[in-house]
Amino acid sequence: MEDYSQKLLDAYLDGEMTPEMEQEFVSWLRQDRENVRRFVRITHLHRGIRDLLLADKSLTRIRRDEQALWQRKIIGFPLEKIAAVAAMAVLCAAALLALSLTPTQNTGNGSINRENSNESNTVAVNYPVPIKSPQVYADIGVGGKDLYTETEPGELTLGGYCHLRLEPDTRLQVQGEPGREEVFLLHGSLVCEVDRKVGRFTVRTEAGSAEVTGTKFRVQAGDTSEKWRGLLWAGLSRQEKSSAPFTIRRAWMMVGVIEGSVAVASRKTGEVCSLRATEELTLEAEFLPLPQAPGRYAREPSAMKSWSGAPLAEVCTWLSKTFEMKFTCAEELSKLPLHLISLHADARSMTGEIAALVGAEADWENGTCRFSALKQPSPLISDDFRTLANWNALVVPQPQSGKLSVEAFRLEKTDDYAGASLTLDCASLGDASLGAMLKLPLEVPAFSVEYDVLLEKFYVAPGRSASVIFFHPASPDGLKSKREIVFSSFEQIGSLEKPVWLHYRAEVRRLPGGDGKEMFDISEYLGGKLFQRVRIRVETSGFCALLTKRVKARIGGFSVRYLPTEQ
Amino acid sequence: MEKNEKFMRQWIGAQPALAAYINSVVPDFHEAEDLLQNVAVVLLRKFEEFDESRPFLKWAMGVARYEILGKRRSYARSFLLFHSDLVEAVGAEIEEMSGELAEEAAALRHCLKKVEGRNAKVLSLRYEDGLKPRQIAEKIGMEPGAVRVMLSRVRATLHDCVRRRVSALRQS
Repeated sequence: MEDYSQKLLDAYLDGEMTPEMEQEFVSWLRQDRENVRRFVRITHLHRGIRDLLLADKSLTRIRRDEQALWQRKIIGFPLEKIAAVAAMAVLCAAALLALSLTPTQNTGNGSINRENSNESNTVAVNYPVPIKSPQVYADIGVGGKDLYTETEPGELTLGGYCHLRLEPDTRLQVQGEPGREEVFLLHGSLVCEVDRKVGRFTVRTEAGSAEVTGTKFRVQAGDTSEKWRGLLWAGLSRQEKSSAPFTIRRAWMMVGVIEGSVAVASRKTGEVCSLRATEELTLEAEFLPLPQAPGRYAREPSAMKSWSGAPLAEVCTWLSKTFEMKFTCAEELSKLPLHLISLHADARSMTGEIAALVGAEADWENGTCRFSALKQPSPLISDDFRTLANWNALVVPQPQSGKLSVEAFRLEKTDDYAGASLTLDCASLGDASLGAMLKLPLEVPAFSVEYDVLLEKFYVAPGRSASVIFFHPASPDGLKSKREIVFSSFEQIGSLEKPVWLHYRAEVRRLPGGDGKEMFDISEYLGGKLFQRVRIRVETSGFCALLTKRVKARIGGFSVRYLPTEQ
Repeated sequence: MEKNEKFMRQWIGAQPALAAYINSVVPDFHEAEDLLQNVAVVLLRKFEEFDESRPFLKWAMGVARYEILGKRRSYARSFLLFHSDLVEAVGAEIEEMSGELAEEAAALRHCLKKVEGRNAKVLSLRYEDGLKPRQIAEKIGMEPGAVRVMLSRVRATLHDCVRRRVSALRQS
C-alpha cells in the first residue's frame, strides 16, 4: 500500500491521475490524518524544488550580468573635491564623520570595495548631502539634491548600510532619514546592496518603488545564519516616441532581486507585490496613454487568456495599467467579457472608485463615467509627492449644468515630507467643461502640471479657449491677475483625421516681482515643444491653478511635480 | 503604519504557508500562482477586517480557504478542490506545520545541491521547463515509466535528505 500511495502521490504531482486514481487518492487522504501530513510535505517539497531550480537559473543570469557590471572601473566621490561652499561645510563634516564610522569590509569579487577607507572612492553620506566631484555631480537647490554620474559609474553609501553603485548616466536624489534611507531614481540604473538588520532602504522612481527590509529574507529562507544581503537592481528609462508634432512619454522601472526580498509598489496603483531572490519585475506605462477607444479596455480580451498563468510581474503590470487614473465608461465596462468585469470589480473594490462623473466618450451628453483612485495611500508611494495617482477620493455633489449631469470629486493627499496637503477638485465649469483645481501649499516655489489628453474633436466652438490656466491670487483684486491661456494649437489638432494623444505640460515658477509683489513665470509645452511663455505679476501670498479642458477628450497620466528652483 | 505596510509585513510572514496550502490543493504551478495572487488581493482588500490581536496566519488561512473554495470552478483540473473536507483538512495541517515546513524549505536548498547527473537533468526538465514525464522521456530517450520512477526516487531521496537535515539541525 505504501508503494501504491507513493504512486498516487507521484501521479498527483505530475498531473497524470486518471479518474479512478483520483477517487483512490481522495479515499487515501481521508483514511488517516498522517496521510494528509505526508501529502502536505510532498507537495511542499514539489513546489520548493521548482522555486529553487528556477531561482538558481535566474540567479546565474543576474549574477553574470552583475559581474560584468562590477568589473568596470568604479569611480566614486573624492572627498577633496567636495565643494568648499560655506553652506555645505556642515554637511561635508557630517559626511566625513559618517565615513569614519562606516564599517569596512571586502566582500570579494563582484562586490563593492570598501576595504581601504583612506583610498576609498566611496563616501558615506547623510542626507541631504550635496556632493560635487569630477565624476559624480550634484545639483543643489530645492528638490535638487541630485547626484548623478556621466560617463563612468560611481558608488554611494547611505546610512552606512546601503551601498549603491550608480551606473553611468544615472541621476538620483537622496532622500529618507536615518534608518529609512531612500533614493529617488530619476534615470539610469543602480545596484544596491543593503546590510542586514540595520535599516530599510527604498528606491523610488516615477514608475514605482522597491523597498528592501531586513526581515523578509529571514522569514522566507528560514535561515538566519547566513549573512543577509538585499541586493537589487533598479533601472529607469524614459522613451519619447515622436509622432510629429506630438510626443508620448513612456517610463519603465525594472527591479531584479539578487538576494533577499523586495517589496515593489506600483506608483499609480499603490499595489504591492513581493519579489524574492532572482525574480524580476518591470513596472511601466506610467506615461502610456489611455486605451484608444471604448471597447478596448486596459488590455484586449484575447491577451487576457494568459492571465491564469501570468506571473506576478505581469499581474502587477496589468494592475498598474488598469488602475491608471482614468475615466472609464460604464457602457464600455458592460461590454467586457465576464471575467474581465470580475477582474475590474476586484480591482475597483481595492480603490475608492467614484462613479457617475463627467460624460463618457461615447456619449458626452448623457453618458456616465467612473473614476478610479486609491482609497488608501500606499506607504511606499504616498510620500512620492510627484503624482496625483494616490489620493483619497470624496464625492462632492454639484448642481447640474445644462444637459450635463455632473458630480464633482475631490481628491486629497497629505504629503509625508512637506506635511502639506494637496487637493484636486474637479467640477463642472460653465457649459460642460471639466476642471481640475490644484491647491498648492504656499511654500511651493516651482511646479509643473502635465497630462496626456486624447483629442477627438472640439467641444467648444472655434475661437473659444480649449484649455486654460487660471491663477487666483488671494488678494481682493484677484480678478485682475486672473490669467487665461488659450491652446491655440488645438485648431491644428482639430484638422487631424484620427484622434491623437497630446502631452501637455505647464511649468510654473514663482519669482519675486521686484516691488514686494510676486511673479509667475509660466512655460507651456505642447507635444514636447514650448509654445507659450508668459510672466504675470500678482499680489498674492498664495495661489491655485485651475486647469480646464473644453474639448471632447480623455485625460491620462495626470501628474504634478515639484521642480528644482533655478539658482 | 499605513495599511499596506502593515499588510505587507504580515503577508511576508504568512505567504510561505499560504503558498504551501494552495500548492497542495492546486498542483499546476501556474494555476497555483494565479490563485495565490488572487488570495493576496482578497486579503489586502479585507485587511481592515483583520483583528490585530489574533494571529494573522490563522485569519489569512481562513480567508484563503474561503477564496479557494469559491474559485474552484476556475480550477476544474484540481479535483481536490471539490472535496471541501480535504481542503479544510489540508489547511488545518498546514497551519499546524507552518514552522516545520519553513525548516524543510531551508533544508531543501542544501539537499538539492547534491542531485547530479541524469537525475538533475530530469529534475530540470520537469521543474524548470515544466515538462510532463512523457515529454521528458521523448526528450532524453527514455521510457516514460523509467522517467516516472526516476522522478519518484529523486523526490523520495530529497524528502529523506530534508528530514534528516532538519532533524540534525534541531539536535545541534
